[in-house]
Amino acid sequence: MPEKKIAIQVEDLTVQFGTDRVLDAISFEIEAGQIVAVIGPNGSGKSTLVKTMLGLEKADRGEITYFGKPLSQAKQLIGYVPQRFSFDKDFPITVKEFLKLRRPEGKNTIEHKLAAVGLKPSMAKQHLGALSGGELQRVLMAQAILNSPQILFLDEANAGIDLAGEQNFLEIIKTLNTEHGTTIVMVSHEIDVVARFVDQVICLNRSLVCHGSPKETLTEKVLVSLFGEEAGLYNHTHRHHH
Amino acid sequence: MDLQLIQQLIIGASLAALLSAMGAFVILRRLSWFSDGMAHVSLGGIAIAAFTSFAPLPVALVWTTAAALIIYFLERKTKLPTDAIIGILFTASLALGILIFEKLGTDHEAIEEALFGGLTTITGGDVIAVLILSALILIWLFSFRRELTLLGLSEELASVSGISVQKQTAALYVALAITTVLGAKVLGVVLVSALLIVPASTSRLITRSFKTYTIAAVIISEIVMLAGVYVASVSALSPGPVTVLIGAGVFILVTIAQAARVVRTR
Repeated sequence: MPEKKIAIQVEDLTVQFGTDRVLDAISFEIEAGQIVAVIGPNGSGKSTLVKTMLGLEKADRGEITYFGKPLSQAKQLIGYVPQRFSFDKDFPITVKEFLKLRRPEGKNTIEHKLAAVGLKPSMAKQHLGALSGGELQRVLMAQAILNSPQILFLDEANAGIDLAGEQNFLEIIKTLNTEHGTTIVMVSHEIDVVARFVDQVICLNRSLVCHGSPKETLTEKVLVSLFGEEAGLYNHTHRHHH
Repeated sequence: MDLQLIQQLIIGASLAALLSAMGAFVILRRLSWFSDGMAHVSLGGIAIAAFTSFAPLPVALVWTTAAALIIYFLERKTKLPTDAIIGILFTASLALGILIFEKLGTDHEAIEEALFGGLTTITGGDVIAVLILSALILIWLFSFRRELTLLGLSEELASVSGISVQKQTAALYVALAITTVLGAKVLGVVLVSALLIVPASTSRLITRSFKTYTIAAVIISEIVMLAGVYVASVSALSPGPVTVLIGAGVFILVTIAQAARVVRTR
């Protein structure tokens, strides 16, 4: 059997805000071409983990490599869809101009990527501030995949989209993964989505609770330890927020 | 047209392009207070130049650039809010300038010119300095417009896409410090920030794309600045107040026209 390529390696990652240790000695590996979800209760360090992996937070200890390279040499390999994108909605900039900020490589890249996230080419001329939440999320996805990254991070990127939109969003991610072999790392709240959609799951509660396939990893015991006794209820109530 | 007026219009046109292009990023990154602070800091530099008998423009440039870098440094090393740091620095520099002028017995006319702008003291060296520095900053701004815009919209996205947030921010601070010192030469330290803010704000009211936004800001700025310099020159008034009032007039007219358009389309 050929040896699997390691896309991301995290070793002994520790992040502390003052005296508050948010991530404690986290180590894991992610194979290239996998879809991986990071789950955990509120305050478990999910977003901090992703932000530290992207260099947006400083690690107090530990090492992160992408295909064996440090982040500084791997930025062009990475795309990122943030959880929130709060910007000045009245600022005069079109969707095309916004995407151009990432310096797209090749001809018609913007049109192709807009199509890849299910947006019409006419969307390019729209004012960025006038987009709906779902449209903006897709444009953010288009900027993240603009230069065909090998690794895509999504920090609860489906928050704020309705259920139909979310399904579509997941399909886009799946297509990217199957057609281009993009490694996907997504922070998610939705245990039921994670269970049927991802290859691997990383459970976090400041330290690494579990790591493996969702079928084997997401046992009742693990879910209760992460989310408390109402773990089963959690899925149900959370879906109604959309 | 006499040679002096042509010289004044050349310096005005060059500054109008610089101030408005820079203004687009001042509005995006909410740096109005920073630019106003830098303008006031430069008065300390002008006073030091008077005290040491050096030419005012180079001393003000060095003094204000140093202040911009100190603000950048303190922003990162202390937990103080940026506006407080700017406030401390600019009032201290302004106070130093006033005391030096007092001690030197500088006449009111010279101080007024520093505060509200002047055309008569512009030298050939000033014109060359303004043209060269404006060109350099505009080239830099054009080369890094994408990085600077992404940085203004989202530091997070900028950082992930490989833009050095710290370097670009420091460079923007330095460029803005130089821009305000150059602009203050004609418009005065009190009024220079108006030409950074007014054309970009006016343009923002009427545009939907970044390209038209910056082009419209430059056009508005050129009209306002050249009209201001011309009126001030022929009527022997201070160019700062004249230009700023013309700019405010254009802003009010555009705002009214926009409001009328909105009412009509309802």
